Amino acid sequence: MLIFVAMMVLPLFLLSGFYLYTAWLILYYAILASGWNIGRIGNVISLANFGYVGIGAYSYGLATLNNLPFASALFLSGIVPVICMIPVSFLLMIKLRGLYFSVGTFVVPLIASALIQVFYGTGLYIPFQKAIPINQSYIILATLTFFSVAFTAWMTWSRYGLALRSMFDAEAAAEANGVNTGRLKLIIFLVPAFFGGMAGAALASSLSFLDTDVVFAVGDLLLLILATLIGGAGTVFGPVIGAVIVTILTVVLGIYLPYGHLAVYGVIVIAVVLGKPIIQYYRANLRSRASVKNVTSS
Amino acid sequence: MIGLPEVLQLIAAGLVTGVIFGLMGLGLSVILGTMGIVNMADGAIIMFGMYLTYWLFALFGILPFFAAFLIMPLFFGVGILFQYAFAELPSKLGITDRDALAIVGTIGLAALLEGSANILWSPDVRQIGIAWLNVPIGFGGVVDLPSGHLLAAALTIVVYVAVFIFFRRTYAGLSIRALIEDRTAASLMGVNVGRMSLIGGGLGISLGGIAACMLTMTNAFYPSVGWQFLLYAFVVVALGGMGNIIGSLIAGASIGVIQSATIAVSNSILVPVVFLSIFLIALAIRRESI
Repeated sequence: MLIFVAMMVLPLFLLSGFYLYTAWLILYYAILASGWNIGRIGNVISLANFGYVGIGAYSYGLATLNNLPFASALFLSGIVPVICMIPVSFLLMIKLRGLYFSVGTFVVPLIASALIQVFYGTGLYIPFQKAIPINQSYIILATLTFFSVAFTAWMTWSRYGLALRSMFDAEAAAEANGVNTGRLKLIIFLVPAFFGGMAGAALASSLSFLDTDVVFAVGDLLLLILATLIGGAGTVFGPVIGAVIVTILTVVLGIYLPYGHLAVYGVIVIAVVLGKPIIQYYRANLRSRASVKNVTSS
Repeated sequence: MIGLPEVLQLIAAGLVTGVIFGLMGLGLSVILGTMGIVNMADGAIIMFGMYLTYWLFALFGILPFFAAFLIMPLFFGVGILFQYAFAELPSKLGITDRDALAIVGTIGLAALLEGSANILWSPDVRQIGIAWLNVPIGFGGVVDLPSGHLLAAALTIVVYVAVFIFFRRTYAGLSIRALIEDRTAASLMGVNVGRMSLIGGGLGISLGGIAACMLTMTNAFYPSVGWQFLLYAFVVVALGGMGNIIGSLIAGASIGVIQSATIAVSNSILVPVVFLSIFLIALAIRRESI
């Protein structure tokens, strides 16, 4: 864990400019990815994570424009997405299951984005003097990543982790054993909103112009899911590792393939989603075939 | 103020574009029914179909409605592949969380299609420009509709009738409906569930392809337009019911009218909000389709 913290803090002192920006991006995606990962552990596949960034960014922007101090603006950007998601979560979790739930969560950021477009369609200008230097926002991101990973660790290694896993495997049985699935689901659905919103504030603090297309990026959704899948879904540090890989991939692809990066991500996602099970299947089958052979020959 | 002629024009224009939305939704709901997964790539597939139609016209001069005859079998094949990759294969591999895999996988497929379209054909907005498709045809001096829209709507109705007959009268159609309702019972009744699912998947995607051909006559398009179409398809499915042919037609028509009305009132800013809210509410209320 200490190594992890050290690795996060190191770039702040060693890197600068473009490299620091890359490290910043890594942490950004790490926060979002671990947020998605938290949901996935409990089989809550939320597709709304990219919306938290957007809502948080606009909350921060509006707060800053109204001359609220930085700390409150930051806090607001975490709280507002959570408040927005509370009615949504009740609506979605009580009424919908499985993939319809996920589709519903996908729609919510789109609604928020559309509503914001109605009021602030031309974009939100933040005065340049209020922009935060990248060093400071890096520290904020590092703290958020730390807490996000810590939360994942707590959720995984404590008895809550057991509860979540049981929920994932057999929800009815878990409930029968006294697991409060409703409350657990609510927690793992709302906590990523908090972290994601603050990450959105960090993003907004380095921009001077907020536009819905920028902060509600569906492409980011794909990237954060990819990061979690590559790094190892369901593990504590998996999303972070995945975020490193994905960010480096993004930067490299941005240089060589300005338009088609989306296609590459798509291929990778499909490959990972279909490929992992295929590999598992063949591994398991080969193993069992070998053991059967041994039995029959002897 | 808005008088009767304007309202009639609104309704007529909305109906004409709406039936095509209904077709999109029908494709999505067939896939939903036969595969049990949400095809997030449906919009992107339609977008791809629109580009293919465009290029068939630009390179070979094939008019969109004739292109439909080429696109349909192609997309049927694609649909079979799609069905196999996302429904049969996971079952064979014994994957338990197939729904999650399908959602993430189809998002990936959508990204792949959109990215490829960006690389191949650039993000510029395109439109098929055929002069005689844009002739306004008047009805009683009150309503004016472009001939292309009318043609697309008429052909869509023809497709609807064909699909309706297919699902009601042919053995294949009935078996697909059976397996949508209850897979196990259908297989007990002698339906080759595996093969029929593949056919159902092919049908769903090819319906999307036909919708794409129709859409090229009414809309301009660019690689990211797929998400907008996906939203329309979702709303149609949510409102009209899964696998419900007449329902999707009515839902599509209603959506078209709602869209015209919203654009007339608020200059298309509110359109996404309206549709998304309808979708969420419909999704929450309609429990039987879940």
